Amino acid sequence: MSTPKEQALAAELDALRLENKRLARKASMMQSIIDRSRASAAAKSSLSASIMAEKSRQERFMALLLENCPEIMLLFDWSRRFAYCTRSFLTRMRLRSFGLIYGRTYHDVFAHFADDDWIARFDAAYHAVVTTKEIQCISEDADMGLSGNVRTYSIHLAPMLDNTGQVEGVLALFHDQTDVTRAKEAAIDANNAKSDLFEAISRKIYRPVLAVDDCCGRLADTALTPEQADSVAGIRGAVETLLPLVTKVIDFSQLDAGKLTLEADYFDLVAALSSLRDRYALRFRRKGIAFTCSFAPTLPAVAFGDRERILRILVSLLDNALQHTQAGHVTLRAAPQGSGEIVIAVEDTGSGIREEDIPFLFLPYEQLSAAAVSSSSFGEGLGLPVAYLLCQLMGGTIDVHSAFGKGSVFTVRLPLPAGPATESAAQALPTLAAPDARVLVVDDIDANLLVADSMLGSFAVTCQSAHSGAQALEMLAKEAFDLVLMDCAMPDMDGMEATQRLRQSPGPNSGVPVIALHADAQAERRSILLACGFNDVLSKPIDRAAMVECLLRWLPPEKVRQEPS
Amino acid sequence: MQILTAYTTEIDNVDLAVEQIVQQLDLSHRLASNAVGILSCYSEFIDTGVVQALCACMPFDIIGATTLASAVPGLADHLALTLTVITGEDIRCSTGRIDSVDRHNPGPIAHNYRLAAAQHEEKPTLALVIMPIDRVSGWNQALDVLDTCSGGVTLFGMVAADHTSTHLDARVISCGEAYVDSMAFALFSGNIETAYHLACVPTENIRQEQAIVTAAEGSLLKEINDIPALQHLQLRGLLRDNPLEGIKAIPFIVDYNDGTPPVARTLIDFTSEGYAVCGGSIPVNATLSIASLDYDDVLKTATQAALRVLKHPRARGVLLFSCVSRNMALGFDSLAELESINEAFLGHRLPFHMCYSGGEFCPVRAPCGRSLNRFHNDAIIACVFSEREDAKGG
Repeated sequence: MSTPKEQALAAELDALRLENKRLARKASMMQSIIDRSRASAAAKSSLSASIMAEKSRQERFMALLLENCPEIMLLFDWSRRFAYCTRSFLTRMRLRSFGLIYGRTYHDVFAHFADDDWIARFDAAYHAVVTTKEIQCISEDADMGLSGNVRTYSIHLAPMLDNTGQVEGVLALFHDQTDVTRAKEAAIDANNAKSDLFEAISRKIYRPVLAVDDCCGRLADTALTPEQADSVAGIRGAVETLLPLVTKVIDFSQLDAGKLTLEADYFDLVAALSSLRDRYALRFRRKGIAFTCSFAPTLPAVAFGDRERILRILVSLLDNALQHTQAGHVTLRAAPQGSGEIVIAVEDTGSGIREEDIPFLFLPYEQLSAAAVSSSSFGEGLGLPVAYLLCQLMGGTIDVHSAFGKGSVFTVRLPLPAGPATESAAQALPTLAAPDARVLVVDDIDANLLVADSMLGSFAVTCQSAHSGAQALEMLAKEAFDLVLMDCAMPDMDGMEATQRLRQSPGPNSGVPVIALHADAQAERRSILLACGFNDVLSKPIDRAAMVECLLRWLPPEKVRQEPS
Repeated sequence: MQILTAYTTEIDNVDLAVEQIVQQLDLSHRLASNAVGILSCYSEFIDTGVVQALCACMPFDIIGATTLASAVPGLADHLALTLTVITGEDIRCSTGRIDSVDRHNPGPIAHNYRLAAAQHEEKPTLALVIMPIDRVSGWNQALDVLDTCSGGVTLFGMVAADHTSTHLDARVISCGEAYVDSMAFALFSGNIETAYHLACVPTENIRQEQAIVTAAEGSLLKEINDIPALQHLQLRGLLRDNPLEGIKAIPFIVDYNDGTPPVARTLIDFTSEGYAVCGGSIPVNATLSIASLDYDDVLKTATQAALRVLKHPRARGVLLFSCVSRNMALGFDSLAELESINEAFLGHRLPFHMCYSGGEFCPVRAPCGRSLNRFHNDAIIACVFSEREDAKGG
């Protein structure tokens, strides 16, 4: 049995042990708190180090970006002052360091190479960016280094927005497009040169082929042996193949270069469409295809437009139908629609066109690939693109609906105002004779001289010929003529030079009417020729009606005997 | 429904501790027919027998866990035991425990859930879940199994923690016994409505640089941007000589890229292959961002959560769980968050129970409006209890 003192001591000991236990507990808890705090501090330190490292890495790469970026990037603050720029700008401006322009306004800096108008345009774009908060694009030329090297820049200005959406500054990105622009211009020039060459070559071919055709025609009118008739037919067949091809190439070249000018006049619409019927009836019949033409009764007899080009469009469509239809029928329909519009449709039961191919049908350049040129069908494919371009030029449209394997309908819509019946060009040609007239024909191609002689001979006109401009001037210096028909394109001295010299000469023919013979008698060319001293222009091949008109107009009236047709 | 709270700091004198709790609860006047208790405590309360004695003298089941620190009205302490009783005449409560939570064997989870759910006439409104600490992090798998077998019942709860940095002493408490690897849960149904709040890392603390999770398996983050996770983090300068030093205090924000709010993940450990063991699942193709959480952020988000809770017009009480990593950010002022909650609720007479957890279960809202159960780290979560508006009080 323990004494009270021992009990008291035991109780005190228990209390102390308990207190100790509690203190140990608290100490353990404090230790835990210290451990957690240390871990948290370590985490913060790691995170800070990571953030700093990442930031410094980003800053380093940003600096590399700005130093090495090939484009000119300018950063402006809200007051239009330079905040930063890429080294390429400093290089172009021949500045040693950014410090020289830092804090300066772009007005100050750009004034070094740009005038007030340039800066005003930039200002306007800058203002638009700030007010609309949208990207603005302008294109400007600038010679930043004043070295004579003017560059073309596409300038994009973009707002730099802070996290509240306020414009804190503007980024201007100058993209040098000079090389691209020059390459594009060179490509366009090369393309135009190609087109011009193409056209020139085609014209060189065109006149001789015309001459061959004409000569064959005259030959066919003479007595021929069967073998000779056969040969003539063969030559004419080859000409019939070659002429349309050359015509299409010339047309396409002119259309592509934007040089083709329409020659609109009143013409007999029904007669023109009927000529197509006459022209194609036999060809379709030979192939066993029914060909019908249907013209609405309300179709105007006379319309105002470029007759030849309209026929060329329809010829392309009919050629296309002829080629691609093996059986069934082809129909040509024409009817007026609305006010002043004529709708002409060519429908066939041919092979049709796949839907995915339709968008490429009228594309011109698809036909001028090397593969297309080398294929046996080259040239036939130019018809639709030329028709399309001609329609566009006339303010019309052409479209196609087709079912593959079943057939197609090509529809042309052209604005052709109806003309009064009295304006019909289908007037009868007057008969005339001018046996006393003296006409000089000048052309370097014998065949053309033959053709002209033949035509003039039909009017009882005796003509003399010269083979060159120089020869013509010699002849004109010696004797008087009533009229000169002068080919423009001749080697050495061309028709224009010869005419100019004639006008300057004191001889008897300095004022004689000189008519230019030119394969391209368009409006612009005509005015140039008239300015060279010509009195008029006749298109080649010479139309008989045009020749009659020319003779009536320019021969002395007393030497012309006109009889009604 | 009533929510009663009580606490004691008496660890050694079992009888005194129990007496203090009993006096505060005043169960003779306030206990209804149905009740369940939620307990959180300093681990030594288990060792001294306080938990066992307390559970033995209560006429209802008690589930809970050890924790780093806890708070109820008038108390915020590391060395405390806090008990909250949810009781009501027209609510149904049941509890369950699953031995040895094994993510590869979902059978026991489903079986025990169904047993507990069978005691309810209707589908439970809430499953309050207490998970054991798991260094291999099978929480997500257990969550998925529960989610599936419960038919999508809302899961809210915590992972057991303790005051140590390794949580070696963390235990789950169920009916007086403490378990290292058991899961405890309580199901609620009847006249009970719950609302949930979640606050994590402030958006402005999330760094813009993102990485892509290119290989992962559950909670195992294998590769980031096609390189092993450890190597990626080293490249970013986040890991010093000791890979684990401080990494747990850095929240990683995982965006599932499915329209749901991003969740935070804590890195717990690294495998020999350089894979990171995370405090929750990380899906492949999720984007990963680093965030930071400091003292002020913890208090700010805690106060925001408290204020949102206080806006509920019919709130009867609230359970709050906050992640231990948030406590790490408080440094030596370890009780600051608990004290801020106490201060926020002061004068509102709203019973609350808050403790620290090793991970949080709280639903999030999908873009279509559906509630999705999700596991979180670095978060403070709150479950507000109320009665249905059309029901009478009980």
